Amino acid sequence: MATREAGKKMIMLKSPDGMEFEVEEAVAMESQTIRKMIEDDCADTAILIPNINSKILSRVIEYCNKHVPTTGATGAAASDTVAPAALAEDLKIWDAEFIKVNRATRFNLIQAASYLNIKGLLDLTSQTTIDTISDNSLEEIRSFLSTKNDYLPEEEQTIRRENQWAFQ
Amino acid sequence: MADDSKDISRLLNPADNLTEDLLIEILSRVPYKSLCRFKCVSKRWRGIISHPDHRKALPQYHLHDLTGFLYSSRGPGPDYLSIHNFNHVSPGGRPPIRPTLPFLPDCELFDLLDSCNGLLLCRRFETAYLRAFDYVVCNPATEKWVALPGFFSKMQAARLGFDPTVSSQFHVFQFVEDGAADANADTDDDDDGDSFGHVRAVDIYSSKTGAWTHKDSGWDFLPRIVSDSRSVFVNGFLHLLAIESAVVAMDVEGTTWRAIPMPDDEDAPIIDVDVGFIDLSRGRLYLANSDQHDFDKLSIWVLEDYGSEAWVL
Repeated sequence: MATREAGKKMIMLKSPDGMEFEVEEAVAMESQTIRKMIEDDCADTAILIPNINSKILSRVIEYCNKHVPTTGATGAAASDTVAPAALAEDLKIWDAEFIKVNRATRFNLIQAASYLNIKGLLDLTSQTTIDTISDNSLEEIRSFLSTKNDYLPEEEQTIRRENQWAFQ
Repeated sequence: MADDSKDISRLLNPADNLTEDLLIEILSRVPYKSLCRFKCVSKRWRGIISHPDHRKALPQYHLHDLTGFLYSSRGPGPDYLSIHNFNHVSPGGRPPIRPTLPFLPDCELFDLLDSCNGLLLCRRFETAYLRAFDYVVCNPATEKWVALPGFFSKMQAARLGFDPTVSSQFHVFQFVEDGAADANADTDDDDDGDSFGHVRAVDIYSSKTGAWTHKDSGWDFLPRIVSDSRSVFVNGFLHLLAIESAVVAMDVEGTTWRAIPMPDDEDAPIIDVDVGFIDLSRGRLYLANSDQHDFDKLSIWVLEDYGSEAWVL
């Protein structure tokens, strides 16, 4: 794929609530789902992104903008500026800030990352969720994920006994 | 941000958004121990975590989580008695499982034959005086067990094949040997006589069909299985050490049969199948053998390339 065309190619992304976002092709291609559409030439006009509202979509684009490789489209420009390690560190800090969102937004981001197939974002959002809940009690996990406990009391006792070692 | 949250949660309960796929995505990042704990969150979670289709995606019980091992020792006296203990290798792990697998139904005695990825294969005798026995496969962790159909009187090598990453079904292989096995069964000793017969056929039990199937041996020669040797079940094949200096392998259907010759190297000591054994590590087959002249010397071969049968020292 030629990504080094003179003018940067722009892609139009549309959310179901009617908002349109114009992004660089390279940024949009952070999403493997969109990359496939572009490579299959299904992206002549705007791409409608179902299920993802404009608020979430704009945050996803923000993430992709930050994470799009700095080499590539702009060629050697980035190589003489920042060391890769420092860049990675910078990204990490940025990610940590980025993911400071409420629960609902985070779940929506997970869903968006999964649908759009953006591995970095999916790792970030899932891992953060796990870090939040892994030390919590079952009750806290249930309430955090709004999951109903559908075990009968005796069933729960049995399953807890079977997995007792995991609670130690 | 506050507005944002209200806005969305009014539309949807956020966890409803977490489809099964997303939940797996999240759960694939937790350690195995947490995963077991999460089974207790709800039936839905347990269903997702335990579903065979998700085994590949979710963390598995790995050897480095090992907190104990199983060993079998033979008691003194004429009545051969097997004692099975779950021993600690690390302090602070789970408590030892009571020996003798107390959850098994009444039976006079049983022999532990093989273990494979958490399941045990036992030979169960209804009474100590009758030679008839049946096979029992059990999971000592969940204390679930199943008795295989049929009674047998001839003690023959039997092995278990179970790979939870591939399928929740297990297979039991019973090797049908000629001649020597009959004589062996007549003595008061069990399967550790070294005059094991040549394998003519294999009876394979599949937990999926719940039945035994008889398959004639597809190997070019009639191998004799090294009776005390471990078997390795990987890639859907059961691997065994044969006295004829080869690793023999067969699949669970009994349609594909392989014989992998031992490493052929002039400098290598002659492989002594009585001392050597095969095992699995990181998905590759290993062969360990000690030098017949110098027992302190151990050579370990790895089957680097499964297809080309090339062993690397």
